[in-house]
Amino acid sequence: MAMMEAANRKPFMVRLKSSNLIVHIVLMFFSILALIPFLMLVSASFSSEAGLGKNGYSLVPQDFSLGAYEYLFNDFGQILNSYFITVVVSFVGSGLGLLIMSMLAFALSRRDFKLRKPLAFYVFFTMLFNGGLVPWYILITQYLHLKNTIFALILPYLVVPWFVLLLRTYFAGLPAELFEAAKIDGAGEWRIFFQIVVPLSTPALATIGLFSLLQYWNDWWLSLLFIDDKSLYPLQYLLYTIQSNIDAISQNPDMNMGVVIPTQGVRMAMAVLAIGPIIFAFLFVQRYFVKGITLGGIKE
Amino acid sequence: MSKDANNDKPKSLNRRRFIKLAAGAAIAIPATSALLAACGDNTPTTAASTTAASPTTAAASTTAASSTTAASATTAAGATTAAGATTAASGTTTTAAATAAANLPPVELTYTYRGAPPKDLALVQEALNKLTQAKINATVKLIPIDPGSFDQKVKLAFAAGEKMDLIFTAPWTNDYYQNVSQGNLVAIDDLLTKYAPKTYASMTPASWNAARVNGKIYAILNQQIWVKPWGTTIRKDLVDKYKLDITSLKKYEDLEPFLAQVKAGEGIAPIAIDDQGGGVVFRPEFNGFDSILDAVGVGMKADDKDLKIINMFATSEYKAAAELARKWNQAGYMPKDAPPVADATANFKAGKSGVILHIVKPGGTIEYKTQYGYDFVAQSFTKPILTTAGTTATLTGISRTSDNPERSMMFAELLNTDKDVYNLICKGIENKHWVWVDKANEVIGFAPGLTPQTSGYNPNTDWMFGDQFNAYYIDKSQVGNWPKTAELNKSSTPSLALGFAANTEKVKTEVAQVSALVKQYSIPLQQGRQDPASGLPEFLQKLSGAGMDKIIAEVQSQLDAWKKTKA
Repeated sequence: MAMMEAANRKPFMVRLKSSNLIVHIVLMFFSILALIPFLMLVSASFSSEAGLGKNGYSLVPQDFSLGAYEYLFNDFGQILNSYFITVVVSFVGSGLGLLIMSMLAFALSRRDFKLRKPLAFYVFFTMLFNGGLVPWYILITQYLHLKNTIFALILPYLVVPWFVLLLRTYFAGLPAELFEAAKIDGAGEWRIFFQIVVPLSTPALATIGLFSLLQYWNDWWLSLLFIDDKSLYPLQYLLYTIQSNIDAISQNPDMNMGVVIPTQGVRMAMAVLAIGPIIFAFLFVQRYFVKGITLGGIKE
Repeated sequence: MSKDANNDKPKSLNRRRFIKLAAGAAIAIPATSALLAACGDNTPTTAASTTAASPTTAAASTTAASSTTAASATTAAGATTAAGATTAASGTTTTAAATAAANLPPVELTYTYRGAPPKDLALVQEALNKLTQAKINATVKLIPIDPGSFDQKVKLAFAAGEKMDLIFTAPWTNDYYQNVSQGNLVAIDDLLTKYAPKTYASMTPASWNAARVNGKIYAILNQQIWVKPWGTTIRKDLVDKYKLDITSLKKYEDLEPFLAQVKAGEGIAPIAIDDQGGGVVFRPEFNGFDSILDAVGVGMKADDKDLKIINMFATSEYKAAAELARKWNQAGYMPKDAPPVADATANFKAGKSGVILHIVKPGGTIEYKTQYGYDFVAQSFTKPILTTAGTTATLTGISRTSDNPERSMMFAELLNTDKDVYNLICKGIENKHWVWVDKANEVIGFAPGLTPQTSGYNPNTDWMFGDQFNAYYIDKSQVGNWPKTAELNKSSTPSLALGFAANTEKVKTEVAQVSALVKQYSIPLQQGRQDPASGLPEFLQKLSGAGMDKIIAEVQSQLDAWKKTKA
């Protein structure tokens, strides 16, 4: 971020001061540290199983092969379908969740709200204690009848207490005078929330939104518990089952009938598939992170 | 202006605080979720164990919506009355009155098992239902659950009192003994003899004893190879070249002259070994042991009337085997180092090995041929022993929550005796998934254009669904293997501890420690890579330090208790 700011203000040559250079080298070093394993992962996914076994991982695919992807894309319709489910669940879930959580957090942040304390305690309480897995499972399957529905993948993560408390802390810092002024000008609570609080809180909302999105994107636990229907498998769970099936086959030589599965490569290719689109969410949301920090910094 | 400044300060402070918090969250969330996951792992067991204490209450409270479950499931004995009553009621169905099936009211069963849901599951289920409707007037919903989530899902379903009928169970997945102790499965002794007489008769009474817990049978045995006939499988070209009479081999030592010839003539270390224990010389069943806890070397002499649990590593048989292995290692009959399995396979393919020391089962030489590319001949050294672990490896139970235990048993009878039903669920639909290659000998192949990967239905787990000896052969070379294997099972001698299974819950830590030691010491010792003169005492000493005695005492006390219930 410092780099971006500097680039906006000064020409390149001036920026190359020794102190800056050191910073750059350090930063570059760390980004390379982060990048190399990622590149290795991608390269391994394109290597043949034999090549991997012989030479290990490298930055350039050894013995280039699409075998791993062929194995994964064997049922291409299923992969596409699971992508679709994951995208729907992630965006609907995090969008809806963000709406509900921010409204709840706003209510909790208002000093003039009488039930603030008991309600805040109620939210906080669920962070520490829950009913346990089996009652939760019974609730979802036998009372809400959500088993094998897409709602079972969305509903449980809609309100995350930790995120609510984060947002509440942020909202509590907004000047109460603003709301008073808006009220005097005739704004109702809804208008205050949507036209004053939300625009002032984009960095917070973007951060929580990203957390929530990632939580949905990376989840396979809910589908493990509640989904049997293959047409509702989200991507992570599909990949999890592909992996567990490969393990089952390798433990039971009866099953593979002489078929060689590119185990290592498939594992890597799955990781590539799973991070593919979500990596762009970071790029998109990062803007808000930067903005949030720089705004505060400049005005101070 | 001043107002702005006032406003900004808390705001920017607030933003900073927020960023800090958010960073905290980024760290804390994975941590908490890990914690939660850990808790999640524990919850089902605790919850489940509470239900175990009072299975009836659990049934009553969880299935409030369907209070009939508990009643019908518990009255397994009253199944006849139920069947009788319903016969009268079904007088209305006149169309198919001729068939026996019509005398039964239509029911829907579920069959839950461990396997990836195949693409064409719905088609197979439809075809299956045509058969089952005609035969027992029942439709069956197939519920395969991915191996990775099977245990978790089934545990929850039992804990939540979900309706299920037939379910796959085994000591290694969806734990049979845990299910029995928690009351998840129906005792099926009466159902078995009444509704599945052919299945019951197809196995010896001794083998049914293996599935007994506290004197009752809680699951149907899926027949497959139950015994472990350890022996040797040798490349045919070497056997021919050195004129070995393979039938003359009765024990490991008998191999010695042949090994010497191969070593001299071919310049290779003939015995194939790998770092996972391939090629070890000590095998419990060869020495007449019932290895009750195989991973930690705890077992007993299968014919010991006193049922005395021993540390198999401390026996003279173990020592003799280790000494033999060492001798072979020194003589160069075994490689000096044990490579990873993949390398060992590559070595074998390249002709650097020739002798396999492993189980010799009907059709085994064919499997080795596909694996290594050579023709093989095999000879078993072992008088087969029927052990609990071998016999109960794959089971099918009926859930306590089943509304129709008697009809479930009828379906199980079909799975175990009706070749059409069984092979439909094992292999898929004729002409869609498979075609006859040789109908007289019941050999099938993939339908034209299909491979194991592209077939929409290829679970390839015959042993999951029923009597494997009813499965169609998938290669001509296999013809005749099933009757031979069945004979092997039948001719085996039951261990005197048949039906006993140890519960290691109380000695978990010790089992983990000892099995780590076993991997570290036993494999090198039995591949001759370590000198038993120094290695064996060290091994035994470490074992007692790791709590071997505690495991033995625990298993012995359980075995004594089991003996009392039996007498």
